[in-house]
Amino acid sequence: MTAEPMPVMIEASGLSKYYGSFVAVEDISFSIPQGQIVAFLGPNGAGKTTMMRMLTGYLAPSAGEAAIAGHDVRRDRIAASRRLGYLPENGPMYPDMTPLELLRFFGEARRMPPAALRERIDAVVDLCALGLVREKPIGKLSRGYRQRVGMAQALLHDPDVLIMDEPTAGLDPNQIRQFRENIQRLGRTRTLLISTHILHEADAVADRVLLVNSGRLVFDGPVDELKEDGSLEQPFYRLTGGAAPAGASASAGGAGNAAAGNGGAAEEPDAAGGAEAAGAGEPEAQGAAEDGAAEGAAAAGVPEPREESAPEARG
Amino acid sequence: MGGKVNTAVVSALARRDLRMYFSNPSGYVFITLFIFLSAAAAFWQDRFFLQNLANLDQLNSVFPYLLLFFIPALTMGVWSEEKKLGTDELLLTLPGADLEVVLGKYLAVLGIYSASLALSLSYVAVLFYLGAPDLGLMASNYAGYWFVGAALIAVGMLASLLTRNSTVAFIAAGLLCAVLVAAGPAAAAVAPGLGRAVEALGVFLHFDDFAKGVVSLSALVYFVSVGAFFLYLNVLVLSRRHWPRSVDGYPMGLHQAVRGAAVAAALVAAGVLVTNRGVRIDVTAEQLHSLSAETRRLLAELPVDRPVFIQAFVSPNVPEPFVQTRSNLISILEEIDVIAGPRVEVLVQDTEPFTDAAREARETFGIQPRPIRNVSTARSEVEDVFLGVAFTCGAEEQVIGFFDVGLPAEYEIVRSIRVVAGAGRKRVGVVATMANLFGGTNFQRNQFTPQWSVVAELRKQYDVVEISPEMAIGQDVDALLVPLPSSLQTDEQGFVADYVRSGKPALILVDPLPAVNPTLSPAEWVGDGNPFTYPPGQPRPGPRGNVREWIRGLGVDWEPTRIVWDAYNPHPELAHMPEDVVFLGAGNENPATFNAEDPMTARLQELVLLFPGSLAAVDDPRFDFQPLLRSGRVSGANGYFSLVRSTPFGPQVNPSPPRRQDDGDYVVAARIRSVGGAAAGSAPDGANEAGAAGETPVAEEAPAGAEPEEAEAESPESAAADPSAGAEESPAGAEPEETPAESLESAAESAPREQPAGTAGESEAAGAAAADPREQPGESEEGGGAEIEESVPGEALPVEASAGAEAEAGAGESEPPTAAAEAASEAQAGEVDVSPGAAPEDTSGAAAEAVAEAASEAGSESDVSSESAPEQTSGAAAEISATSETSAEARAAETVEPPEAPVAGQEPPTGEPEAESTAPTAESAAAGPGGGAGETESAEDTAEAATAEPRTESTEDTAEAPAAEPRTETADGTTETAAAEPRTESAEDTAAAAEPAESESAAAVDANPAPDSAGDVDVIVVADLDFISEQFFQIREQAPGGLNFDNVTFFLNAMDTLLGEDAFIDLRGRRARHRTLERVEAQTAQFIEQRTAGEQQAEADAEQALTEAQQRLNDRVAELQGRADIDAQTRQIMVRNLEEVENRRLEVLSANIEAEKDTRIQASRENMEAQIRRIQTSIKTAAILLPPVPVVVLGVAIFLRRNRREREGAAAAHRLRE
Repeated sequence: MTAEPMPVMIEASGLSKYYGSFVAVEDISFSIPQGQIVAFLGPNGAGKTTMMRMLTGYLAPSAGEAAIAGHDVRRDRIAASRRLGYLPENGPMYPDMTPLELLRFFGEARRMPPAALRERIDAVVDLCALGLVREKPIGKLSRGYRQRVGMAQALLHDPDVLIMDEPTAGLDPNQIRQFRENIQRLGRTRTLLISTHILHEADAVADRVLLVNSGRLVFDGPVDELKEDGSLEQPFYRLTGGAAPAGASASAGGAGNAAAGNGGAAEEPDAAGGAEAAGAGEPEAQGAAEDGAAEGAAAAGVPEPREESAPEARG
Repeated sequence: MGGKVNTAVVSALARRDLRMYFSNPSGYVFITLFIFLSAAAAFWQDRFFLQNLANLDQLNSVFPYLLLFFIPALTMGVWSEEKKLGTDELLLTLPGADLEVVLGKYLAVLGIYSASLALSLSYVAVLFYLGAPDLGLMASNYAGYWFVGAALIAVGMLASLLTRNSTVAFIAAGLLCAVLVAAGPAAAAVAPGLGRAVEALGVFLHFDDFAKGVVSLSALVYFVSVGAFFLYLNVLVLSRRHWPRSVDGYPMGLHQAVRGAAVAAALVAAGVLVTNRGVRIDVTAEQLHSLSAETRRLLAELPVDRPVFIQAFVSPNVPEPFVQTRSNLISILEEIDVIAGPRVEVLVQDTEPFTDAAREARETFGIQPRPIRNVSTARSEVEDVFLGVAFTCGAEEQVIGFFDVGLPAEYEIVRSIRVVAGAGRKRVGVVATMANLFGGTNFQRNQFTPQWSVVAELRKQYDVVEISPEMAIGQDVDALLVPLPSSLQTDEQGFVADYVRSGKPALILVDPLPAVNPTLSPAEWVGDGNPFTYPPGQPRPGPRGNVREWIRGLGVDWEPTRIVWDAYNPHPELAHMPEDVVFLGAGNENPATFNAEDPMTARLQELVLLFPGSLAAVDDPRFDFQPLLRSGRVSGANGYFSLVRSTPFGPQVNPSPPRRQDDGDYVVAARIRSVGGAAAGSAPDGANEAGAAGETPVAEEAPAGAEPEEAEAESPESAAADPSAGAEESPAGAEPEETPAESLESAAESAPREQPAGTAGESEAAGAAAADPREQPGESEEGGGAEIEESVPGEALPVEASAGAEAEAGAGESEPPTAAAEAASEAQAGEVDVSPGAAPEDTSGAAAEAVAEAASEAGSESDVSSESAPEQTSGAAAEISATSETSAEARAAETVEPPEAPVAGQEPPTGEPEAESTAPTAESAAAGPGGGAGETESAEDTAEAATAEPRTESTEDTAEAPAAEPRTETADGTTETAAAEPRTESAEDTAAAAEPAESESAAAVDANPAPDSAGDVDVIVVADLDFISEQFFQIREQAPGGLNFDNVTFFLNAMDTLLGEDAFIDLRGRRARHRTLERVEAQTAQFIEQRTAGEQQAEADAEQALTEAQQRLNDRVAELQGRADIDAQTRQIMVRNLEEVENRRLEVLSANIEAEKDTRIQASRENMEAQIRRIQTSIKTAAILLPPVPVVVLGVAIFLRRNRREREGAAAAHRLRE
């Protein structure tokens, strides 16, 4: 499918994001045509989340441009967002709402006519298998269900473009398999960009892989092209600087999975930032982030501070 | 951001947040807490009950502080929760601008806040339960709450946006809001100048408008600006994630900061512009904060060709308490400037001390700054504050030197404008009496008394001149103010009466107990201090005229010894005041307290009188008596002497005499007009002519003869005729000095009071007129009650009994024979009369007079008259007064007697009197009639007439017998009547030979149709002088503790009404309705009533116990006496022993009874206090606990519903799964 000349649905040109002197993303360009499923690969802290936030218009890039379905997200974010379904990482949801309420809310906010909304809700509830928990507060749902509620929300308005940040984190194998099926189905008509650090994921669903490391795009091409010896692991290690002996690689991969499994805490920049914030309050958190950045902060948490931190410090 | 606002996002978001908040039980916790706290603020404070007003003042004063906790509680999670959950990413990637998201969030919180306020409307319900709050004010208060909250919510949201921790957000929001709420007061404490500037940016200043019931554009602009500005900051901070690093070389943060500052500056500028425009809507029921229609009308009536210039000298900065006054003053002036157009030019000068403006103010207008201590600063400073206004128009000028906080600015300004613009002012004469309104230096006492403010107040509107009552009052005076006519002498009273009867209006202030100077009480001794201290050679003040008679002649029955009390007191902070401080107000459960039909009283709200008297109409169809002010339901009256004890240091007031509540109310102010006018004056004259006859008219005022002048005139000729004459002034015997009579008076007083009703027989004669000074003393003492007089040939002295009853006797004094007689009578009810008659022929026909006061009901009454004992006696005059009411008979009898005394003439047959009088022989002056109404009761009390004997003045008593008796008997056996015998006087009861002559009809009788004397009367009588004393002017100026009495308003209204100048009456009536906590008052009144009843019961029980004890003693004595088995001597001894023992026992017993009574009374008071406290506590407890109830119930219900739904959902899911 990759070869077909379809309209470009996601486009990034020269996207960069700096926090102070810290470079989160630098000069990334790519374009994704309609109907393509793209896996956005990279180690924790490589800039995947920042990248996606810039694509959705949540964050403004320091340089470069992003467009969704032809709409520049900087200048015309509203139009772009109508075509876009977005599942932020960890599938943030309001714990007090039931899935039904949540979907209704997003539908209303998107000005969907009530009849159409009802129909769509039924559709996505079916699609995401939420029938059993429709009336249960999201806070009491298991992580898998929550992830599915998030996906239902992203699909609610039947968007042309879907951007999902770590959608499979925390799912059990059954759920993962189901998820993959859904993706495959959706991929026929839609454009999907899915970030993950799980190589199998990419292998299983994606037509194309974007591999980033330390904010730079290090590979862009079909999955098969990246594979060496039928595996993605070796090239991944090589390209992301984690070049390790073959023997170690397996365990590294395992560790990655484990991290993802426990909620991605280790990889979550937020978590780190949050911890700091909790201790010292917002400004300090930012300060710490900046300091860390200035020092080249090896810390995993630093690279993608969610905070739009201290713009005035940049420079 | 840009473009149109996408309402879908806004409304979806707002609805989601609202639904989430209200479907979550934890949300109700804050609302409950908020409602509970604000209810406590509104009702729990003691001030709520102390102030006794049905409004939310207490809540208003702390509401912004309450929001310091509530608003952060509402906003803390707004952004921080979203951030913590990460859901902000979802919201901000919706097809909606940041602004829309912010608005949605804001509206949600605003909705929650509004709902909380709506739930707190129960406070208004509480107020409605307790009283009748002003709905407009309530609406404006709630609008104020809403706007303050609406502005602060935006502030709180900003704080929430800065952090993802809700606790931090809560604290930060509290701090940010505190800057707006408390910075003003805080800064003011540090630096006053800065404080005022900061204050203008604070919430309180603008919230105050709403709290007062004014919706001002500037306050609206302020709150909207604050809200908008902080929402803008919200958007700004929210969009920070989009900010490029820098623009044009400057960091983006700087850009935004400049932008924010620019917006702020624009908003402040807009606010200032709007503030200066001063657009305000007054939503209070009384429209107090806007210029009234009356003002507009008055301004429109100003002449165009002679503009009024108004120069206001106002300090630009004034200390806290005057801020409001200053802004009011300026806004009124500016509005007047606009409304009046070319008719009024207003110049407001910012005046600082030591500037040209200050010099102009001082030199041109005498406006001085007032040093005001600024208490809002930590180091208290004194500032010189200018708040003066000068009005000029042509040569007319009026200056109001300082607008104190309580002064009704609109009225003062409009009044001044009108007065300077108007042509000629009317002239008001203030009679110089012992009340001494004009002040001045008393060289005898070497003390200086300042002028009363009431004079200055009158001068603002009228030309005020001091009028000496010692001569006829000129007609160039348009109206008269007569304070304390009781301190005038008889002839002085006569001049005043003449003036009044000539058709001119007068405002008469009588007072049974002038609190300003109790020694001026009519019941106190006449003179100006101790007679012994009078420097030799100085004229001593004469005895005072009989004010009671005098005022009867004006159609008012006023008993000078009755003091009205009233338990109503709407000011808990003034609870220590005795009940003799009479508050008149809507809460006293007497709907007729203020005469609603008369414009001068219709809009009054609260009046305070100190020790007022009570007025009643005389029964005389010629007068129209219209009550203006009445006491409340729980009220009563005490006698002067049960309330006041004479001590060497002057009268001392007993703060808690026994009070007996009686049915009905008391009229404390009334307007009296002649019906049909006419007749006036004539009567007096007639009387005069009659010569001998006492003028009845006269009688009115003065004990005996009222009309001094005339009387005197005649007297010469006819000798005794004038009763009045008899009274001090008259040529006749008046010997003032003799006053020794006092003793008499006192005796008399006491008696009357106590047993007013008392049978006629009462021993005491009320006041006795005394004929001879010397003798009297002696007698009086003995007599205790009864007096006698003799007349000395030379003179006769009348005395009046001060007690209410008095009678004077006129003494005839012509040389030889004269007789004076007076009868004093008083009864509560009634009246008195007296008349002395004297008339010996030989003597040359002195006249005797009797005067009767007319009690209103003449008919029944008795009367009195004097007769002269003619020939036989030797021409002494005798008089008698008939006492008993029955008098009728008495009279008859007397009349019969005529034979003896030509005098008799007086009697009904009347016509004769005069004739007789003329006749050498006796003429009795039939004064009595004059009293016109003849008064009956006199009888009861006593009548006494003094007679003077011509030749004899000897003290003998015997003499009387002859003449006296006859009549007396007839009279009904009651002893009272005394006949004076020519030579002797009747010792006992009364000396007078009074001729009852007339009962009402009497008028006819005496030659004087005296009655007609009514003249063309238009007077307003107020039974209190103190209501215009200094303190009330001070209260009016400064309004301490929110006190606002209408005393001055009523006084000015009365004066205006009399003068026909009613332009300002409506304007003066403008003031907030005093909306008290009626329910509390009603319940309190109930307990007061119970207490009063309890006290009465205790008194009655004590009395009964004493009576029983006494009875027992008597019984035992009687028993002993009845024993036949012991001889007389032994019995005597035994009786004495027994009496001794029993008396001792009785003493102990009575002491016990007294103690028990006191205990019961004390207990009853304590009980009342406890009950009142209990009511208050239960009200406030309910007021606090009830409002949160619905919220709690709602919260619990939602919690349960949620739980149930979850369980059901889980079960359903379970089933499905299976």
